[in-house]
Amino acid sequence: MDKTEITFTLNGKARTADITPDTTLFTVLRALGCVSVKCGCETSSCGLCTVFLDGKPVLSCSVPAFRADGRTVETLEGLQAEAEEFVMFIAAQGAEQCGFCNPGYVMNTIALLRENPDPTDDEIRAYLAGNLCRCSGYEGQLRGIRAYLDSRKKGGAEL
Amino acid sequence: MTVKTVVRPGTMEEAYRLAQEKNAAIAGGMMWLRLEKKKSIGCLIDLSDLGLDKIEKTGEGLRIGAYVTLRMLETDPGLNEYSHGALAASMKNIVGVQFRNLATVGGSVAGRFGFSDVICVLAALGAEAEYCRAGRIPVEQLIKEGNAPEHDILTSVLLPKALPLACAYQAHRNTAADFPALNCAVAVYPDGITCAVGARPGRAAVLHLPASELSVLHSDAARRAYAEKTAETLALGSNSRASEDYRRALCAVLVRRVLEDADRQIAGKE
Repeated sequence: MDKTEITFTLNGKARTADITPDTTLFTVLRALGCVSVKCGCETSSCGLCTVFLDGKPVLSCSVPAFRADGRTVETLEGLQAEAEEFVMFIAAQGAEQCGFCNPGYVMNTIALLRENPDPTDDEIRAYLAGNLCRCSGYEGQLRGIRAYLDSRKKGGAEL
Repeated sequence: MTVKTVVRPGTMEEAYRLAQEKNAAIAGGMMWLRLEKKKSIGCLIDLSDLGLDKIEKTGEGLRIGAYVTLRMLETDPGLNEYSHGALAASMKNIVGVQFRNLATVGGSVAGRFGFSDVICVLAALGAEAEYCRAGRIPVEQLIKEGNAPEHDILTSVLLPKALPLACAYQAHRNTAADFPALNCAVAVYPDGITCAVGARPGRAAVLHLPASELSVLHSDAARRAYAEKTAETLALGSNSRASEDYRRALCAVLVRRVLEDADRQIAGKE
């Protein structure tokens, strides 16, 4: 197999990686230390591996690494400030159990709120349909997001 | 899946030449190709430099580039106006937003999957698939014949210039984000109605009603009768998602519902 080097921006920093044509972006990101990116299914089904590619949420297990060349990738490691307040609400609602799905959920919620800052419950459910959780019934995540949005409307963090 | 080499051609001519090689494959969204664990690809052809990620209004209709993602289809205001929201309705349950940001319309059409929500709506809308050398093939024909042009490249999907008076989509899924057990789309034009029923589990069957039968839309009794007749006569089968009998029951309901939706649109009641 041909080997090649890609260069891309990862969480604001230029990074390079040696890849083969069938290397996935997931593999590259984990090798570069982005351990928030989890492997759940490898079949594009669960959302655990969600990252942003040029600002859009994608499944890193399904993105060939060569497609990241020259582009911008963000993981939760680079979005700590944006995620910080929101994840407190998720935790306060008991939405985390094993926590394995959590990074993917947070990433996709950030994407949702960037696209739609004031979603309805139905819009939240629709947008997050690609994030599976084996532990919960998804209501905790919805409550957490709703509590965060309501708090934001009131102007501050009130868990 | 293993890949020996990836090439990113600068022209369609170069891409087509590469596609003639043995074990060559076109890299669309890669959502399905990647899952073919035993597949060995010699040359993976990435068309990212060929400007196929655009939706353009042309004199002939709306041209959707093969690399346009399902999420772009879902959220494009022009396409949603054209299809009365049916295109967005067909996409919204396909796995998740992250998936739809990667899967492409070219991959969906070229894949000719029986379960495809995308193909069902495009067939009802009279869309054509444009290939590099084979030219335009109606999606209805592409899926019926069962053979795509060999070693050719699907470059875009063209929606006809004539706007449908109404267009509606319905599907039944056993669980959210799963493949549909059955899907159905209808498009209404002044000269007739096109109804597509897919996930049979086979590829969509396309039915045409002439202008003289437009009245089927406008009464509950007529819609019900047409839907039940379609359910009785359409070739349906069984798989893990539904039995043939269940699909017949679903068909009678979904066809009736899309006709109801279309009637509401025409009457301006939506």
